[in-house]
Amino acid sequence: MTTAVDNRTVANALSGALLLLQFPLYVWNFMRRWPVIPGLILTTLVVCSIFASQIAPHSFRKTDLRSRNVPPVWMEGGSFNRILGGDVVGRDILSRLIHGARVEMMVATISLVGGAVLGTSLGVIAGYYGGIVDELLMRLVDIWFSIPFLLFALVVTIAFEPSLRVVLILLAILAWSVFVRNIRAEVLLLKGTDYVAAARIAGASTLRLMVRHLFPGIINTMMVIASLRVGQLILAEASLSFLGAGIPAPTPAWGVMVNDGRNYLDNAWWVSTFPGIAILLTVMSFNFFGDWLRDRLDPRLRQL
Amino acid sequence: MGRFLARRALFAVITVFAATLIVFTISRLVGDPLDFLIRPEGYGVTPEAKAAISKKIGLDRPLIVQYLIWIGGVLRGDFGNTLLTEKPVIDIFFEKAPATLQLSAVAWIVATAIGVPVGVVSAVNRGGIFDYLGRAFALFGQAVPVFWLGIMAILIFSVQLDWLPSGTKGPIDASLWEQIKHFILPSLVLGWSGAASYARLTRSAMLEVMDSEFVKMARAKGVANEKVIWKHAFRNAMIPPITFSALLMAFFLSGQVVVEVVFGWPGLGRLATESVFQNDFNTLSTSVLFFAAMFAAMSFLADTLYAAVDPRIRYE
Repeated sequence: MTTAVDNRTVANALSGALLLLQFPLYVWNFMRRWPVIPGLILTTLVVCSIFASQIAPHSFRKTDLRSRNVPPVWMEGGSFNRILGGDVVGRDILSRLIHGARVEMMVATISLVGGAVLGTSLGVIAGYYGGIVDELLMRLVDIWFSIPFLLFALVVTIAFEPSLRVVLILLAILAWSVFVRNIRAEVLLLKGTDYVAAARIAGASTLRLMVRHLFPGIINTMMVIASLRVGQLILAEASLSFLGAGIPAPTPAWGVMVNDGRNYLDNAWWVSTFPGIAILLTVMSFNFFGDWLRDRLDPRLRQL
Repeated sequence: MGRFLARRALFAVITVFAATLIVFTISRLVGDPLDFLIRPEGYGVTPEAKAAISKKIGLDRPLIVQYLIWIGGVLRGDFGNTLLTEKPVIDIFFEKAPATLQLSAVAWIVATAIGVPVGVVSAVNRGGIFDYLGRAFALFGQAVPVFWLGIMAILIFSVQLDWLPSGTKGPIDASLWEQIKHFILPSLVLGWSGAASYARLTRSAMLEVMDSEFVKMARAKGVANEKVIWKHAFRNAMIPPITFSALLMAFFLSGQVVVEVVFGWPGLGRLATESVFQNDFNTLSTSVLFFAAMFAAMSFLADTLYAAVDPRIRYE
């Protein structure tokens, strides 16, 4: 009797231990299937951008001369008052990062939606009508591709004064061109399918054909391109801000913050480093997420 | 094929001039270039003097005429003078061009030499530790902001370790080793994202080819693993990276503005940026013409290479 109980206990203990050993494997497999870490980073960003004023410990624009270039809390001379250190004029870097998340998210979302709407409509039009319309639009895309974007953006911002609106428009027209090319190719394929022909015979108007029959077919492509584009938009915005043609101060754009610390590398490395890490993590998460979405929705787009 | 390429070349030329027209027009919205020459409230500035200078550099004519005059000059080899120093633009251009071309070339070699092998190793070890490392490298390289990478490189290798110079191209009469040292950081920083793109592209191309029937066939008949990878798979997987390499060169030429600013590199990117801020329209237009022409030439090269490398591709 006793041996039977013992056996059962041993068996239970063993299976428990086995489960415990399998747990890391289970976590690993789960992380391979779902974008867990990018998801966490992006969630943090969204939360930060919505509740920036509540989360941030300090104001993003309040200067404090005693906190000039104060090191982060774990270094000698740092304090919890400036957790990630203070910048050149004593502003709290952490608070500026949190408020910066709001700027980056807003810029990325608005310019991406603008670019997607513009690019997709032009792509559908080019693919659907073909002929001279198609030719003109595609040549326009070619011209746009051959202009160096940063130089163009510099000229435009100098011409119209740097402002948030100019940056948004610039990034939207940076985003549209890729949509046009891919959506057009997709529409060319869809146009030849039987169901589109059937809808046309049934008397659907051009607009109805485009919106009800072509658009649902390209929405996956659009989502995939969009998710793969976000990262590039954020990088472009950061480069513009860095060159001084982006969002003007005192808005805490991450690119501006990197530039702020450039001249203090020898005594305050944290001023440039942390905003850069924020950009890196954000773009990496978006790209990873985009890859994942592409593999799920449309693996044919692997070349993008 | 010949007809396709001829048509392609014609469109490329039109594209380049359209690009310059767009930038020329927008740059004129900046405001009166004269304001940079003579301050509006400056001492002794009479409207007559202003009008005389305006006439001298052709500002009194309509915009489109100004553009046509500029294009006419370009076709005759005259790129105009710079606004402030009144030196021929072409002289300054040739003074700055070598630095940009050299940096692009070195960065291109760095990117190719790092990116392609990483992609191959990553594909061959699919799912293994090297694949994860390779993909992490690609993910990092495509997400890192170039200017920040440059600043971090300066912080670590110049400020902390004091191994390499933090910028500029160094004096002309410096020793060869000294000059190479000036190239290391800028070319690595510029080439990094290109290497990441190569790795990604090569990996996916390799995976596709490794999955094809002829590779399975080669394996089935007992060809050695190395030979399958390098002779059967690699040569067929090279088509996307080869066409990409031409576009990457174009991107390096026009996209190194940021790197030039971070490292104080005396090249065309900084020249163009400064001309924007000084409203120096002749210099700006010439730079844009050069960048757009390079882009057009390189994408033309990419198309041609595409057909040259892969005999299955024929343009009608």
